[in-house]
Amino acid sequence: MAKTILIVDDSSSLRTVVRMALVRAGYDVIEAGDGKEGLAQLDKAGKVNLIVSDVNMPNMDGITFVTHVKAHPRHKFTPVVMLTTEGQDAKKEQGRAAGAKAWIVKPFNPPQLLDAVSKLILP
Amino acid sequence: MNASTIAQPGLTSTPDDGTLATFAKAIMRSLAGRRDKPGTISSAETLCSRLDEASRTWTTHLGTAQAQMRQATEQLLSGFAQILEQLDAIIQPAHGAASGQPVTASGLDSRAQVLEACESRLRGLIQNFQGFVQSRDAVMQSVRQLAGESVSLGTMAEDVAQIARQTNLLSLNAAIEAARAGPSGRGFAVVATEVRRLSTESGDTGKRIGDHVQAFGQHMNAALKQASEHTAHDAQVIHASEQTINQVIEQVDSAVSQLNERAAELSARGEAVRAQVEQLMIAFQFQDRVHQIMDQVNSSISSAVARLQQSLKDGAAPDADEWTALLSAGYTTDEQRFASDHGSQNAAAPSSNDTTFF
Repeated sequence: MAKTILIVDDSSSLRTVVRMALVRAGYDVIEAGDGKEGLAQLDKAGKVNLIVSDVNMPNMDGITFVTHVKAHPRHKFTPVVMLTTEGQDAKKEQGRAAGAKAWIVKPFNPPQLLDAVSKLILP
Repeated sequence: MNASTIAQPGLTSTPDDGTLATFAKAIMRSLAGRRDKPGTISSAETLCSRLDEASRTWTTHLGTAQAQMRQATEQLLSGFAQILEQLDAIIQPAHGAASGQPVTASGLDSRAQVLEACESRLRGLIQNFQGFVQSRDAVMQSVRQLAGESVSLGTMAEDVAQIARQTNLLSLNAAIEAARAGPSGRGFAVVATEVRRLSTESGDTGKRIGDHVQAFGQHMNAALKQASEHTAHDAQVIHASEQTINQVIEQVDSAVSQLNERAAELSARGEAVRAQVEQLMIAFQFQDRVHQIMDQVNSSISSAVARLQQSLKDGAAPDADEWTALLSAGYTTDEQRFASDHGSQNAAAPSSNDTTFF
């Protein structure tokens, strides 16, 4: 059974690129346009094996989203990869403190993302 | 919009580099130094009003450009995604061409396999022909041996007839000797007569056997002759068939090779196109960065105008540090920070492929 990955990004074009990379690698994908939608998708999906999240998003940013995920008893062990235009160390530190497991600065290339996913994804 | 186009009377300081920040500072410097002169406040208020109007116009245009770029990018990405799906359908293995599916690279592979199977069957047919000929040659060899045996049988029948003749002659001599013996030889004469009768019958039987063996031999030879003629004809037919099949196989070989080459070429080109399309899709990530930069610019314009209006009310210009902080608030990319730190120099988007693991 294919593993499921949640993509959270307000840019639909970015979600398309990420989705194609992940689907081509054999993963199932669900999507959300911001942190709030991401939490709703998690509630609906029940379990996902990994989350790929942007940082700067409307309604709920990625750092806040990860904080909520890590506070959720069902999802607190789900690994999160931040995929963002932000490259500042201060921002990365915020992501690490919130509970993210990896930080990739856009533009990314698919092998880079797939490498991080394969290293972190839950069985 | 150039600042000089909205220069107002009473302002002695005109921005020399045309940036919004410099222009705003010039307004505030002018305002701070000339508050006592009539018309200065109203001129500054007019300028701020114009600036506010300009900022709204710029923001609207930026929003329009963003929306158009986002829509166009999404359409392009959607189109590329469809192209990739179609390429996958062409390149990736599908079921055989024999199922009537459209010709694809994989379909060509299947056809090539079918043609190779046909070639194998035709070669098998030739082998069957050759096996048939060999079997018939073996049968003909047995028939020839049988014909040779019939000659031996004829010789043996002749031997039997010869023995019968000699026996007949012997019985005749025995009868003569029995007659000479007189009454004591009568019994012997009866035996001699009976032997003569038997030898005569043996001779007749031997002759009939000889006749049958001869007839058998003649039939056998006729059959052999007929079979030899058929063998020669069959050899010609088989040879001609073999040549035809070889020609067909050569044509099939050529077709198979061409199809295989074509299939390989299609796959290679498909892979190349797919790689290029994937690279293009990756390159379209610029839209996300541009979108975030423009969002920040929009936000910064609004903040700057609001701050200038507040400065007008307060009668004091924001200091350089505050102004810089206001303009840089909400930066999300390194190139924004670089451009802010290095004046008007443009910075390229980062291309680092490093992943930070926590």
